[in-house]
Amino acid sequence: MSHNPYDILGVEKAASDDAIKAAYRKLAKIHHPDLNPDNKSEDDTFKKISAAYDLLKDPEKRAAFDSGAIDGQGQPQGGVQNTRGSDRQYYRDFAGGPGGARYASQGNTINPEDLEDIFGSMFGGRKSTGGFEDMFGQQQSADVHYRFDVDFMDAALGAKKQITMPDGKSLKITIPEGLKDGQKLRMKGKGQTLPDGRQGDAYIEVHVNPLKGFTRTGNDIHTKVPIGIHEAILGSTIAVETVHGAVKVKIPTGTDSGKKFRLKAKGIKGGDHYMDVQIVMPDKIDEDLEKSMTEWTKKHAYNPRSVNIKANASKKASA
Amino acid sequence: MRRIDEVLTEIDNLIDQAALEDFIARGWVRPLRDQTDYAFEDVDISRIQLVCELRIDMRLELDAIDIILSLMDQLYDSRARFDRLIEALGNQPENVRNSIIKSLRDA
Repeated sequence: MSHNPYDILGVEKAASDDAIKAAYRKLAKIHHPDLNPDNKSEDDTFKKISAAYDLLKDPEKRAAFDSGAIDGQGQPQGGVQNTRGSDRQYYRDFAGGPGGARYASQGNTINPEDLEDIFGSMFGGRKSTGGFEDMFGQQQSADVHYRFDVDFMDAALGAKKQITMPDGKSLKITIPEGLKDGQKLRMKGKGQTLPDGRQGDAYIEVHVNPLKGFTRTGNDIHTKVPIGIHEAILGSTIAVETVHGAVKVKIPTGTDSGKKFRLKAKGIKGGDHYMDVQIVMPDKIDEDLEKSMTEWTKKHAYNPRSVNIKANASKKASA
Repeated sequence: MRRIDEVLTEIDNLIDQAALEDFIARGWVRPLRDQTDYAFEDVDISRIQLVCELRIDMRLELDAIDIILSLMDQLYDSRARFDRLIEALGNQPENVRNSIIKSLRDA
């Protein structure tokens, strides 16, 4: 496509402002990327059309272009290209993402009924949805959307909360046990009331605040638990924090750093709690410890690296 | 997350706050809300820009914008559901995938 804005909009050099506006409007309706979800090449076309219109609608810029002072991109002749919205993101760039779900009319998940519907249509039996009514039923939404932050523990175990809405009304919400970050709660009939009497719903997008030391994957919890060298060597019973409070865990004799313990059903909603133990040195290596280790070393030739080297060598040999 | 005044600046003050609130009241733009204010995300900004273009640049009537956005949202829904279905089909064993491809060819 030419870089001449008159060519891009398809107007004469002497075209009136109204003619330019009309030409732009006509092209924008055809080429707007959001109105062409499947056609990526429209991005570029629309960008050029917008840049051409931006230049020609401004009498000063138009005069500058006509006299040859600036080029079609609005830059001094020979300058760099800088068109409007060169880094612009269109709605369609988000429509398939999580944010787009807020604008989805019926949600974008497939549930079994949908599948029956889809398979039904293959046999010519697709039932008609409301059509006209459905379409106009959506034109004005009475639904409202809120964002709410909850604590990690409340999301894990469930809680009842009261939130104050922008209009001053308060709303009681029940955080279900095992709520996930970003999950939406629907409060039926808690949206706005439209003049025609339609009552919308409130959607609350809940964000779970992180809790230091706790990582969550689905309903499982992962934590790292420090143990002393004496506990690692001699074994011990230690108290470990879980979402259900502290539980006693038996650390066997000779437990290595990085060993994972599974605390069954101590996660969220029947999930498990996994703890990794990390051997931690005492703050200070005192004389007693030094002495006993020296004694031990004298009697035992132990080099942990040699074990690794042997293991690696045998792996290589078998590979 | 951006507040209403930040959003108006970001879209070069194409519209004023009352107009944006009207877009929200019509359900064209659906920002999240927290306890005190609206909270706009990137998806909402792109949506506002689109509505401004439909309304200001293309001079569409309010009713026409209702219809366009409604159809557009339904289209994106269908696309998302189609993608999910394709993903589910892609997870099927090879013989199932092949028989689907075959029946598509035969159709």
